[in-house]
Amino acid sequence: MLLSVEDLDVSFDTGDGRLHAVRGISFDLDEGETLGVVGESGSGKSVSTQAMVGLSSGAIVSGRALFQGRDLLTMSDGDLRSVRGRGIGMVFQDPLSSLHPQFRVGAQIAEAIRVHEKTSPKLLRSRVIDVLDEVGIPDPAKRVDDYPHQFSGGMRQRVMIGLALALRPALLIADEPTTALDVTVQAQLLDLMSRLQQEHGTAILMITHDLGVVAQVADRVITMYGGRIVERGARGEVLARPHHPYTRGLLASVPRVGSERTVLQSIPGNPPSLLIEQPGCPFASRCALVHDECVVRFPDEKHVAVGHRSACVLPVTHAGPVVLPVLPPAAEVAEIERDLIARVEDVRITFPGARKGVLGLKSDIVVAVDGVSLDIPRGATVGIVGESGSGKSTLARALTGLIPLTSGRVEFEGRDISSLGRADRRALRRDVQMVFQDPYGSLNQQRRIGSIIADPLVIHGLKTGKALRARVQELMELVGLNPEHYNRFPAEFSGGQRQRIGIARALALNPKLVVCDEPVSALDVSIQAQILNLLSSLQGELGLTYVFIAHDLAVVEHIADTVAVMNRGVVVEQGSVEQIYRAPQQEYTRALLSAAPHVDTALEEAEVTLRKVRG
Amino acid sequence: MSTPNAVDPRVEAELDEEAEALEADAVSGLTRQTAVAARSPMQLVWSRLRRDRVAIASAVVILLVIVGALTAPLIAAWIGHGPNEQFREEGLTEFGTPVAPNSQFLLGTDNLGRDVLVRLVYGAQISLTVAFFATLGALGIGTLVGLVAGFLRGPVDTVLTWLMDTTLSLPQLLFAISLVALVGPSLTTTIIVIVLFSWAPIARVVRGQVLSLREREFVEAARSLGASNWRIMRVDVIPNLLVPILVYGTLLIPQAIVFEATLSFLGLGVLPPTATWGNMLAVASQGSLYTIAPWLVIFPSAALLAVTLAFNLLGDSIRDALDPRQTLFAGRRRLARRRSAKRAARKEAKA
Repeated sequence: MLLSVEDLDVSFDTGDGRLHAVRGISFDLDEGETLGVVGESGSGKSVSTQAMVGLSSGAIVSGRALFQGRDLLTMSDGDLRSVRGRGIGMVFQDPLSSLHPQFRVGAQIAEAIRVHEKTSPKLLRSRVIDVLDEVGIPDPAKRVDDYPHQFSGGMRQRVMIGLALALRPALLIADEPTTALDVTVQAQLLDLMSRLQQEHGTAILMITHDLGVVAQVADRVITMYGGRIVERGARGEVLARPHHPYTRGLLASVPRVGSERTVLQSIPGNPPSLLIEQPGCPFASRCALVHDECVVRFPDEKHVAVGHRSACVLPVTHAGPVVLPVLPPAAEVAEIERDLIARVEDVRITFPGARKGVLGLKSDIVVAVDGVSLDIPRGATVGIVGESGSGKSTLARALTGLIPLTSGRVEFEGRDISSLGRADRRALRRDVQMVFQDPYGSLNQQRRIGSIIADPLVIHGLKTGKALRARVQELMELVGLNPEHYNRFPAEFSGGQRQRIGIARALALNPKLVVCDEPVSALDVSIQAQILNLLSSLQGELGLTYVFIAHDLAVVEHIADTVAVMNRGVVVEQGSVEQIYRAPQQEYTRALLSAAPHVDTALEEAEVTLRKVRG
Repeated sequence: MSTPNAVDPRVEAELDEEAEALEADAVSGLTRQTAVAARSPMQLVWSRLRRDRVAIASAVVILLVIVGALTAPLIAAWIGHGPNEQFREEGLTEFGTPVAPNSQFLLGTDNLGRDVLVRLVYGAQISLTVAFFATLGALGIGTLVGLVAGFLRGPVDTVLTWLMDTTLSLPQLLFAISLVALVGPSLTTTIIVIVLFSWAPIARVVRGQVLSLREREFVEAARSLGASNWRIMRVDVIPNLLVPILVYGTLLIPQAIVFEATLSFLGLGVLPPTATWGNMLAVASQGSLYTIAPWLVIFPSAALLAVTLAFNLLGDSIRDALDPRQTLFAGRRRLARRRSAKRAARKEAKA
C-alpha cells in the first residue's frame, strides 16, 4: 500500500462560520495504480489532497494519511517538504500560472532537483534536458533556456509534468491537469502521463470533474460529493454499473460524443452548503430516491460487487447501466425550407497586435477571424466548435455588433448590420442578445438581480414601475428561478442559477437570435445539463434561434442542428450534426473528434481488455 | 428547485438566534439548509465590522472627537472659559509661564493663559472641517478624473494621466507655502491646497480599477444590451468603485488632518487666534516653551495621533470587511493559532 488515507477530515474557519470541506474520507492507493477522484466543485476532491500534503494553509485537518508507512499529517514541516517533490509530485490545473514567469524553464526544473539532491551544475543541466526530452519537448537542449511565455499552454503543462516527475516520485497528484487545455492537447498529455506511469511505475491520483478523462485513464474510481466519498470501485464497475444515485445522475447528465441524441437527465437542485453541518447524506436534498434515514445518518458503505462499494441505502440491485431515453431524429426536411435569420459573409476581423518600431507607431496585425461565411436559419441552433484561439468568440461578438468587422458583411433579416444608423442599431440590440460564459463575471455583483434582469427593459425604456417588476418576475419564472428572489444579490446564487439570471436578462427584450458564448463551460456537469435542457425548452417555447459556441464537442452535438468547426480563424468544415459527427470530411475535425474523451468507448475498451485477460 | 435558498459560502451562518434556531430543529438535514438567511453585501460588511474590536474602538474614538467638536461651545460654556479668552491672573504663574493641569484648567493653559482643553475641542472643529471637505473634494475630483481617463482611454487618458503625474511630482510643501503666500492663509485656502495635492493618487487608483472593470463581462453584457457609455459608468462601474473609494477616503482623512496641522504649525493654515491643533503645537515650540510646559505638546499631539491612528485603523478594518479575501492580519493571526494547535497535537501524539 503506497498511500492509505483514514478518516481524513478537513475544515476551514471562515469569517462566516466553519466550512467543513471534507468529512472523514478513507481510501487506499497501490503502487503504480491510477485512482480517479471525480466530483463537482465543492465536493472536497482537491481540498482533501492538498490538505494531505500540507499545502492548504489555514485548514484544520484530522485523521491519518500514511504515505509509505509515514503519516503525512503529523510530519514536521521539514520532513513534509522533503516528501513533496521527491515522494509525491504534483501537477495543478493552470499551466499558465504554475510556472514562474521570470525564470527560465530549465532553472525551475533544476531548482526542484537541487532542493532534494546535490549534483554538479553540469550533471544537473543534462538531467534537466533529459526531463524535457522525456515529456516530449522538441529540441530540449535549446528550449531549456527559454522562458515560460515562450511555451504554449500544453507545452507548459508538459514542463509541469516533467517537473513533477523529475525526481521519480512514487505518487503523482494531478489536480485537473488537463481542464484548462484543448481536447487535442489533453489527449496528448493523458497519453504522456500513462506512458510515463508505465515506465516508472508511478501511482497517479487523478482529480477531475471530467468523467471522460476518468474513463480513459483510471484503474479505480472514487466519486465524491459534499465532502464525502459516495461510491468507489474499479472503473468498469463504477462507470458501467453505477449504484449511488449521484454517480448515476452524473453519468446521465453528460452529453456523449457520437451517440444518439438523448434527453439529458439533469440532477435537480444545487450542491449543499458546506457551512452547515449535515448529519445525513449530502446528496439527500437532490436525490429522487431519498429515504427517511438518508436525512438522519450518512449511510455506511455497502458491498455492491468485488471492490465496488457505495454509501447508499438503496438495494444492491439498483446498480446497473445508465440508459438515457433517445430522442427521435429531427425532421431533416424542414431545414431546407427555413428562411435565414442572419448571414455571415466572408467576415474578416483583425486586431492590432504588439507594437513595433522605435516609437511604437507600427504594429502587427492579429487575424482573429479570416473569411468566415455562415448561414443561420430561423428557429435552428447553429453550433460553432473550436479550440481556444480559433476565433469563435470573436465571431460571436461580431454577430451581435459588439466589435467592428474589418471586412465582409453580417446580415440580420436581410440588412447589413454595419451600415445601420444609431436608431436601427439600438433596435438590433433588441433582436440579437448574448449569453455569456462566466456566470460570475457577467453579472454586476453590486446590483440586485431584479435590477440586472430589468436592465435591458430600462435601457430601451420599454417598461416602468409595476409593469417592469411583473415582467422581471415573469422572466425569472420562465428560466426556473424563484420570482421572490428578485431582491437578492448575485453572490447569493450558485453558478447555475447565475447563468439562469444571464439567460433571463438576454430574453427580456424578446430577442429573435440569442448568441450563447460557451454558456455551460464554467458549470459543473449536473448543472450543465440543467442549463442545456432549459435552453432547449426555451427554444421550443419562444421560437428562438441560437448560435451556440462551445469547445466541448459533445455539448454542441447535443444541442445544435448544424455545426461549423473553426480552427485558426477559418471554418474548416460545416454541415449538419449528422454529417460532421458521423462522417467528418476534414482531417482536423476527425482529430478533434478522436481526441475527445468518451465515457462509453473507454469503457468498451476496458471490457475488451478485461475479457482478453480473462481468457 | 428543491433548495431555493442556495447558499454561497460568503453568506454568513452565524447569528446567535439563527444558531439557536438550527439547534432547535436539528432533526432533518433538509430544513437546515433553508435556515441560512441571505443577506446583502452591505449587511455582511456591517456584521464583519461589528465583530472587529479594533474597528469598534477606532469608531468610538472618532465619534468622541466628533461629539467633542460639535459640542465645543457647550463645553466652553460649561467650563466657563472661551477659546480665545486669556486668564492673565489664574492662567499664568507669577513668572508669566503657563499653568500645569489643575482643577480649574483640566489640561493646563498656554503662554497667554488660555484653556488648552477648550482650545483643543475648538481645534478639533477646524481639523474635522478641513479633513471632511478636503477629502470630499479630493475624492470627487479624483474619482471623476480617474473614471473618465480609465473608461475613455486614448488621448483623454494620456492628457489626464500626464496631469496626475505632474501633480504627483510637485514638491508638496514648497508648493503649498508659495501658494499660500500668494493667496493669503485662510480655512478655504487650506482646503484647496489639500485637495490640490490629494486628488491625483485617488485618480490613479480609480483609473486602474476602471481599466480592469471596463473589460469585465458584465460591462460587455451591458454594452450588448445597448447601454450608453454614461449609463455603464453610472450603473455598472461606479458601484464597483465604492470599495477603493471608501477605503482610500478613510485613509485620506488622517492625511488631510496632518497636512492641515503642518500648515497651521508653519503659520500658513488657519490664522491665530483661532485654535487649531497645528498652531497650538506651534505655540508650544515657541522659545522651547515645551521644556517647562510639556502639556502644551502632549495634549494636541495626543489628539492628533489618536485621530489619525483611529482613522487609519478604521480604514484598514473597512477594507478587510469589504474584501475578506485580502485580510492579512486576521489571516496571519489564524495561521499562528493553527500552527500552535498543530504543534500541540504533535506533542500529544508523541506522548
